[in-house]
Amino acid sequence: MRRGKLNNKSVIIVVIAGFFALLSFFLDQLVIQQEDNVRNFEINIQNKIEKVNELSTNSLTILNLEERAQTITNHYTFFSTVFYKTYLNLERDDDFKKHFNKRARKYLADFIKYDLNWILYDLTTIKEDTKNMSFYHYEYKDKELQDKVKSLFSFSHDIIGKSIYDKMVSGYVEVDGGFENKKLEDIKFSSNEIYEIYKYLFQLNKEFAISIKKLNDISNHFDKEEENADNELGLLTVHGKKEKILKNYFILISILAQILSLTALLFLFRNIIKESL
Amino acid sequence: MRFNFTRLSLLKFFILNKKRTRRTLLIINFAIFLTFFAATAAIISLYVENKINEKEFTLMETQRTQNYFHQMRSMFPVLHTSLDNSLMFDRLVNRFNLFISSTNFGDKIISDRELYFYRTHALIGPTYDLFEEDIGVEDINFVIDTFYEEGEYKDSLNHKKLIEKFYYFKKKYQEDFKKNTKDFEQYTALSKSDLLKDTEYSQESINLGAKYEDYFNFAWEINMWFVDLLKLMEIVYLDLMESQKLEMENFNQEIINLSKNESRMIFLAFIFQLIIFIIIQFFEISSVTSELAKKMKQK
Repeated sequence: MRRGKLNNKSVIIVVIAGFFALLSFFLDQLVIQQEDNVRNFEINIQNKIEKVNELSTNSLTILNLEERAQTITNHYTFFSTVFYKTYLNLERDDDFKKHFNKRARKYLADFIKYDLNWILYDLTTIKEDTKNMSFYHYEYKDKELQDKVKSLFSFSHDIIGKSIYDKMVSGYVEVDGGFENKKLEDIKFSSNEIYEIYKYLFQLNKEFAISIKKLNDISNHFDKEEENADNELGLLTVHGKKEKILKNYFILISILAQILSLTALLFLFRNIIKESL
Repeated sequence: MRFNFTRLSLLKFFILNKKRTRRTLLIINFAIFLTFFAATAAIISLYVENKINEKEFTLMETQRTQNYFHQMRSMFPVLHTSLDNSLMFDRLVNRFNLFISSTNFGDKIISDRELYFYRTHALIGPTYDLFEEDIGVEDINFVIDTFYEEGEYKDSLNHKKLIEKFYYFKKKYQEDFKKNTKDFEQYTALSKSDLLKDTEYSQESINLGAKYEDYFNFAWEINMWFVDLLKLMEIVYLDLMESQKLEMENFNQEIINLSKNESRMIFLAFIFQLIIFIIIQFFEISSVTSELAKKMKQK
């Protein structure tokens, strides 16, 4: 071998070493790009987890809200008839009256008055609470559903006749920045007004039942969305895992290429030594 | 002399120095052996990683299902609370009504209509979506038939009867209750005269009471059936989760075993290659020594 000249075998070995070195550089670049993909997938997975949690919380919140509304509506439905019927009989039936003392009629009128007060309070409170729930502020693609959310537990004070409403409001006093109907007990309502209040109770109570149906539709929407988001999360997780695996393969193959390049160089040295003998 | 080593003269001095040929060859051969071993280890890692990844994918799928079951199981107490509230409130109202009914004036307040009408709606209200939406009753049937082996335990679940009952309830709900009642009818206030007529002895109330007593019993049965359904689902979910837990433990063990085997395989490859290296070295060094001896003699 002339000084500085490589034989054919050595040239082939140099080519192999070079090929594996280049392959290793190429795979290193792929690892860097793959790392970007993995990062993007991880961001998407985190976003999707957050979305699934949001949808699941909304669904559970609605379920509990439905339960709350159901308990309230059941309460008013069960007792309002019995109390008013007793009030009516006390008013009309002398024989019936004998079974009660003089306080009975006032007490029963109070039950009905207070029920109106409480049902208004319950509707207002549940409406206000609903406004503070995340599903209320969710961006619905379906306009009809959006309207259903906004109209939950809505009622108009116009349901209540003006004279009765004014009387009710006159009982309110300001307590610690809020209003309480402290004087309701003292406000006198005529027999007809008590019947009107009894009817308002049913009308207002119906709003709970209507809202329960709306809540059920909204809950179904979230359940479907959650199912879709969960499936998407599953796919993303699998793809993310695949990307990570691919990155690991690139790293391992890059290491293997580096080793093979080094091996080729060692063979080159070995060849040179043997040639020099 | 500056950067002389970059021209490999120093390296050349060591490598091509004939006095050190045998030692240099030995070092290079050892380095080749090490690179071969490293390459073998990398290939073994690639192979084992591939196997582990397959297992991890299956494990991930099982974990997802397990998480779904956890989520579903967390809903059971909420549903039980809802049912308990309805049933306990019904009991309270029934006792209140019966208490009034037992007084001397009770006949004028508590009619048969009063006894059953509102309670029926209160009990049936939260269950209407069972029959108006697909709650996946057939899925329960499919899961149980697929997962459980025929035998005493499967029979004790009584799921066929439960599913049969569902279809009976659905039929009654759609063909009887839904047709013969109006939406939100419990929110209609009666007129004064109707309220006064609504007594224990009113024929109209007796008739309406009989109709709603039947619906009340129906609503009560639905609630009881739903309690049984929840119980069944809790058992099935628990069994499925236990089975999946075992499956996950097996997958984890298999992954650990694969990792252990990887280390063993690498170690065995090292021993095997070392033996080959020693044998090759023995022949190569002897051949180089004889070659050098021949050349020395020729000189």
